[in-house]
Amino acid sequence: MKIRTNEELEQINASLVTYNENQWDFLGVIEQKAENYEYFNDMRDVSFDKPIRNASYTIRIVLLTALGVLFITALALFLLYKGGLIGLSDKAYQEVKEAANINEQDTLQVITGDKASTDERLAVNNLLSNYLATLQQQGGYSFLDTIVKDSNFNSTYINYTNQIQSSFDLNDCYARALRAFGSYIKLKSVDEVIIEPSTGEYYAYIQIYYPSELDVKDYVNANRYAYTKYFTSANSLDTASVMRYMLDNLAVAKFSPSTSKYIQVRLIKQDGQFIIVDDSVFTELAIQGYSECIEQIMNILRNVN
Amino acid sequence: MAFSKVIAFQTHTKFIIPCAGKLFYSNIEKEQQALGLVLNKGYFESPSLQDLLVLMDELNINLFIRVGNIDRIIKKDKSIVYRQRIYFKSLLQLLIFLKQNGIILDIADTFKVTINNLLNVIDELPKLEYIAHQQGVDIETYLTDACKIHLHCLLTSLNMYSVFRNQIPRLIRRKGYLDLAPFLVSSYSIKQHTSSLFIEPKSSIVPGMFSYEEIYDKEDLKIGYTLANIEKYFAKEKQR
Repeated sequence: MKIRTNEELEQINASLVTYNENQWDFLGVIEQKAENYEYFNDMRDVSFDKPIRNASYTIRIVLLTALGVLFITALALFLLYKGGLIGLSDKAYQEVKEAANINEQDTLQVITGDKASTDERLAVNNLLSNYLATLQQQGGYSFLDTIVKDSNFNSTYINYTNQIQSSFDLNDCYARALRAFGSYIKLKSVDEVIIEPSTGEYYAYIQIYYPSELDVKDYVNANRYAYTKYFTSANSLDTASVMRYMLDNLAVAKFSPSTSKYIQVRLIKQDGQFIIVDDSVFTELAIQGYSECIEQIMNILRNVN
Repeated sequence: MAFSKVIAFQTHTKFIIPCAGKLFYSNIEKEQQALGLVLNKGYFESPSLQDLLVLMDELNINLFIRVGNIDRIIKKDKSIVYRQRIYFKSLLQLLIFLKQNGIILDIADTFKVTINNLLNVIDELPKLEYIAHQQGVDIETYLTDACKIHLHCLLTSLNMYSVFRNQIPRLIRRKGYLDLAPFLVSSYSIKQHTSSLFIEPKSSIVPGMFSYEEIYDKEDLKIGYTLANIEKYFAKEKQR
């Protein structure tokens, strides 16, 4: 136990922030917010229960039997298809196959230049993987500033969090939504890396999975019952409350975007290391994703209410 | 430790819980779930900066997490206090710490358990509303009262001073008021998916809190919001 001298106490006292009682907000602290979800009334786990393991014996037997029947049915259909008794024509099959893998063909203007070496492509692949892995962690965004020249994603996030006045106010919801929807962006492939001859900059043409309008619509429609059930009780229908429930629901009902698109990412080499010049495309994709999600939910609720 | 205990008592250091955490399902037995309310955050308040700093030096960092810095607050009566926010995973460990250091536990005047605390167990909302209605109160009042009564019992079971002792007769509005109320979570771990609920020992049960003399029927818990008790209750209600 340390007893501080009067001088030490005065020094500490001078460094403290003073509030009037009505100004002091218990939940207004944003320090370590990303790491302290429980503190900020945001328990991630819905329950301590592991549903399947704890289901009653009868339910387990029923589930296992249903799975068994499904498996046998699938096997029988497969054998019948292989035997030629049922099946799609080649043309129909191709149409189904293509519809299942939606790939938005953006008209990207590919620059002309020399292709980067294999080592450089590998380095770019690793860099972008690290970038998107950080987004998937939903925290530690200060790391982005070490691999991006002034990360737009990090500064957008900080801009929201700096304006938070209370837990789950609008800015807090935007920050959480940016985190959540940023985490849905995943790297599919690095297709090409070109060196622009005049500037020496590198242009990576990559495919990413991202939360598209279609994915979001599908997700919201699949969960419409949860939204309409919650918001027909005594809850206010405003953006912050809708966003809050949307975020809670995302933590429970998994959302896996399957749409992919091509994007261009500019990079430069500094001291032999690649850094991304501009990451605003990822910020925009995340913002578009959650904006679309809110709009879809509001459309459903307005029709019900 | 003894020195800090004397200081805390003399200068009226308090620990205040301003708001509740969330309700969640806790497995009390292999196939039995109960509803538990978490209290996991609060702040120390002391009129003496020295006392607060000494207390923080003694805080077990494995059990408690300091959030933010110490703030200086000018209260409405112009007195100055110092506050430090704390987060904890075990209410029981917190109470033991408070007892060892002679610190009073209190809750804020604005303390309330609301529907926002039910987000994780939203399916239980209609049932809780019904139970509250049967007790003659709204759901928020019911849950808040239950929390205070459970806290009072927990404090008295630890031979600690309870700020609720004068309120209890008013809070227990009718006999069996807490028969189907959610429990108070004693401690929890999200990583390990474990939790423990506080169940009142006979000596600290407040008269009228439960309808039953014995709270166990063989090995089954007769009181509290367990899914089994709720099922039986609503089955009886349907027959009426």
